[in-house]
Amino acid sequence: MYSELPNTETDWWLRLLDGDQEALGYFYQKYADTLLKYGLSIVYNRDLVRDAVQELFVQIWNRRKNLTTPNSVKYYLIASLRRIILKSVIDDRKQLDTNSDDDYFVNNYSQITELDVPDIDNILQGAIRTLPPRQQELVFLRFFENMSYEAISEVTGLDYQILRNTLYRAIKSLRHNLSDKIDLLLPLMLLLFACLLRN
Amino acid sequence: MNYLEFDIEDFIMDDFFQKWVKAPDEDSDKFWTQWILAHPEKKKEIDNAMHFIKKVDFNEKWTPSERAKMWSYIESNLEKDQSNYKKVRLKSNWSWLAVACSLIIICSVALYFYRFRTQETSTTFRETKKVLLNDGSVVTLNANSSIIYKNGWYANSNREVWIKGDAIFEVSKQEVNGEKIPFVVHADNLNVEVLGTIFSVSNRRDKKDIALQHGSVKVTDENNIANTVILRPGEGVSQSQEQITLIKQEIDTRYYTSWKDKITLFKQKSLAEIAVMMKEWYDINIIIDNPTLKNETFTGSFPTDSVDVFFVKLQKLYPIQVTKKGDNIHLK
Repeated sequence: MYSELPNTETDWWLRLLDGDQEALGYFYQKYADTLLKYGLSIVYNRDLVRDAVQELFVQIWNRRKNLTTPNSVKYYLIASLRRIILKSVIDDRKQLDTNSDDDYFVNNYSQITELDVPDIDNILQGAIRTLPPRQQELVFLRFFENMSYEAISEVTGLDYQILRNTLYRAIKSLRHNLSDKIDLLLPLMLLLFACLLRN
Repeated sequence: MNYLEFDIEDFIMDDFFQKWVKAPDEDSDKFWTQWILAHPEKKKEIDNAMHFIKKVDFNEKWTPSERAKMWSYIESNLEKDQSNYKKVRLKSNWSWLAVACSLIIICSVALYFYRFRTQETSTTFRETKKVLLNDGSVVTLNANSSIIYKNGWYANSNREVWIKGDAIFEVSKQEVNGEKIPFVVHADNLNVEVLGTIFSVSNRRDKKDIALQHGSVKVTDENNIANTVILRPGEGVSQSQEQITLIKQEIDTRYYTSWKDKITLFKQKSLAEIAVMMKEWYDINIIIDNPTLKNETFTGSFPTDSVDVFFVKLQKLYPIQVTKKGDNIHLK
């Protein structure tokens, strides 16, 4: 029995390696949503991401005897999920045989329907999901996870300069996309505001 | 770093700048406040870059049911080879604690299963039923329909119901500490989220219809959360294989809810559509022998519990001959 409650991720991780299922549950509860957001950035297919997350946690448990303690559990989970997703995408493609065109990487986020209230956050979210997957992934790691360029480069295996260029392109097209929509929205909102004032 | 030559993108990309926006500390705060004061001409770029960094968000989340299902899948696939481990543990004189802990675990598992055990209520053909949920909401089920809901709803937990077929929901408002507790109806991939309201949901053969009478609901497609509409009273939304994108429409809600008062209303429904509904509600096979009849439409009403009235009316309206052969009804 453990005399003290674990208070750091390393403590939890050591418990996991020691065969404590509760520790696995701890990491699952903590990172399941992060892994969903990240997984969807690589391939926008919820079912596939679900399977990959499940496989990730099963693998960690079943292979725990051969695992070491990573510097950051989160980055370790992200990098492992990435490997599993890419492998399953490649396997699926092999099965699909000659249908090798970018079926999987094509974003099926094409229909962004009009919301009742034009909400800038939703527009940005929608815009991110229309980026190419590699760009989505980098935007996620950089601006949602606030990872350093070095750490991103380690997780994705991308060269530092390529990484920076890709991210730069992503930001440019996001901003472009946004300013288009805001230009449309702004007069509308002003009009609304004017109406309110008059009343 | 020569920040003077930076444009918006460069600021967004910069480590020091991002750290200041996301998690400012004394150093970065001092530096950037002074820098902005010294270079007011750059204020627009700075504001834009800050706004961008703050607004990048990914709002996808697992639903509670997805989370639970995934975890039970993971648990059932874990290798159980802990025999050595357990032996070592029990040798120590902490074994009483182990027993106590196991008891606690067993109790919590039992509680968990009690809380999350689901209950199903269903109706057969020609039957409607009222179900009172333990939060005071009332669900009226149409014929050949079912709902699944969790047994124990706690004050702070989400209220969730899964529906097949047609149902009308009268949702009671629930608040805890001034916060409204959502009530979510799942029709496969569509989630209808409400805060106290009356509406109907129909989920049959891949076609889903949601019609709102009072209040306000938000309908979201789990497969694509950008596929969302917010309904006001008198509006409805449908989804089918052909029409995935949710587009709301003005509707007459009576046509979606009249079955509750034991009246079935049809407005310009084709005989082919009516045949499908008759199969779903009454398990009656209508066979339209004359193909030109399929597109003829019927507008009118009949008492839900005497479907014969419908066929009588039909014969009056059209030169149609209705004949019964076994379980099938032929229209000629």
